[in-house]
Amino acid sequence: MSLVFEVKKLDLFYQKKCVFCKLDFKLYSNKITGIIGPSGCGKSSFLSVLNRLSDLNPDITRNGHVLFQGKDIFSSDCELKELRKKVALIFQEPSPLPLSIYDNIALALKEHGFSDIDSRVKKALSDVGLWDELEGDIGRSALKLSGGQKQRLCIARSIALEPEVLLLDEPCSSLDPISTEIIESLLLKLKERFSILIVTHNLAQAKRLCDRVAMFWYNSDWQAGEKLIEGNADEVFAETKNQIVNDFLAGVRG
Amino acid sequence: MLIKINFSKIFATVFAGLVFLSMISILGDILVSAFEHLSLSFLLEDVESAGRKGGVFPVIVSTLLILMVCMLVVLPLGILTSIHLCKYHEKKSSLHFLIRKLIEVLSGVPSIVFGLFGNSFFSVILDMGFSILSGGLTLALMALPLFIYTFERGLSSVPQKDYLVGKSLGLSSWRIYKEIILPQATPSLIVASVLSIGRALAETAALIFTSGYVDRMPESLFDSGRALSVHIYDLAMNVPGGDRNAYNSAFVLMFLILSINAFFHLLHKFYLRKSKAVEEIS
Repeated sequence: MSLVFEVKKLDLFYQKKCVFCKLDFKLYSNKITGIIGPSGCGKSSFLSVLNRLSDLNPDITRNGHVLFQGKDIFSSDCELKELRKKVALIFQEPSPLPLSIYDNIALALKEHGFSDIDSRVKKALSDVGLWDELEGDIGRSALKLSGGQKQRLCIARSIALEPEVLLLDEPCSSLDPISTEIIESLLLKLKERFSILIVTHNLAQAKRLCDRVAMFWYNSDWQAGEKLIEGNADEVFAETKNQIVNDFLAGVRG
Repeated sequence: MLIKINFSKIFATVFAGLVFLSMISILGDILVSAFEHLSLSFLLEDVESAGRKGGVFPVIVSTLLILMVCMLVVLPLGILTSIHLCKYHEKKSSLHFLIRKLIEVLSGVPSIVFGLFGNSFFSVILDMGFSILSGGLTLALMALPLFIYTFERGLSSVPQKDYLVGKSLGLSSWRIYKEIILPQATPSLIVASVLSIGRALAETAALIFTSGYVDRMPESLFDSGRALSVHIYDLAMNVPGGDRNAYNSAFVLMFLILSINAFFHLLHKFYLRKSKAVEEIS
């Protein structure tokens, strides 16, 4: 079990308001790590820092260090293109590009200089179970897929690039229970190959999927988010010492 | 309330009718006056006797050359400026504010001022003289604000999310624009082009000072050339007995504008059908 991401004392500001403060966090390989907690404590922002997509928003500034495989991703010699290939982000809303299913995957493969694109597209689609479902009809528009299929296409698009880490921002929140179940079993299968970090509002989902869990909370003294607790899932869910964690897990607060 | 609505309806109908009538009367006047004299030879013959006789072939060639120079400048410059303004849309830096304001001001500058500027800058300072090149460049300056204004609207309506998704996959901005954003903005690109071409073809004042009014066949882009609109102006105002051919030339200009519009309209339709096909093939 090796360390993939190590976050040290990370502060994040939106304009001048602090989103979260002094965040320490560890992500281990080949595990599913869940981040739970109420809205507004910076869970999604945290994900977007890990592949530096947050750089695109000029209102966001940050302090602290994030080590990916031992190297600081904020240092000037970090290759952004390479980082985003290795650390894939999957958005909350299924977001296929307005292209064909094939091109959705092939476009990024071409950018990163892969060869044998056709077979990689096929493999990625098979990995997420779409190849058989679509019966190989991948020339049609990705926008015509169902919600669950779109989200699986987005996952396929990311894993085609052979990343190390999958970041998922509430990937099932806009999906029906059946699609959710398909995605969940897919993630359990994928954790053998990737390290997975998933933000979820759904505690039951976190219990079903996660090996490790971190809980974020809004600290009203700081007026910002913080990490309350982090550990193996069974330990966190059995937590009794921290009243806020208890109440949140029991559904009393949240 | 009810009476108010009726009034506004009547007003709207009357004014819409007036606009329609004035357009019909202009078109009708030109059509009726031109139709009895117009022949194919008018399109293919040289200008003779200051335009009283002969045709307008060299004038059509000059017009198209000027238009070509204009669009060769407007398209790349306009597309890139629009992308620049749109991509940093949310930043609201002072530079973008300045560019935006300048474009607004430029689109309100009278064409005669552009003509004077084009004359002193392109013709004199850059030593292009009275030439198709300096005329086309001056027209490009005039058409750019309109083009940018229209095309940037279209670009801004493409979901920002697509850009973000592209970036999250590590795509370069170049590829994101080329493969994802620009294809979605093609309809507005077509509209912006049509408007710019319309503005360029209609221009007279700016061209008199820059491309001049020599009516023989231009030998190169550095030669002076007479645009159709200039030709019409000259025939109507300066050449006694030129009225008939002024009408004929007006007809040719109108026909040119309409056919260019029709071409782009078909292109737009074709594009829509193609993009629909991508969405609906199943």
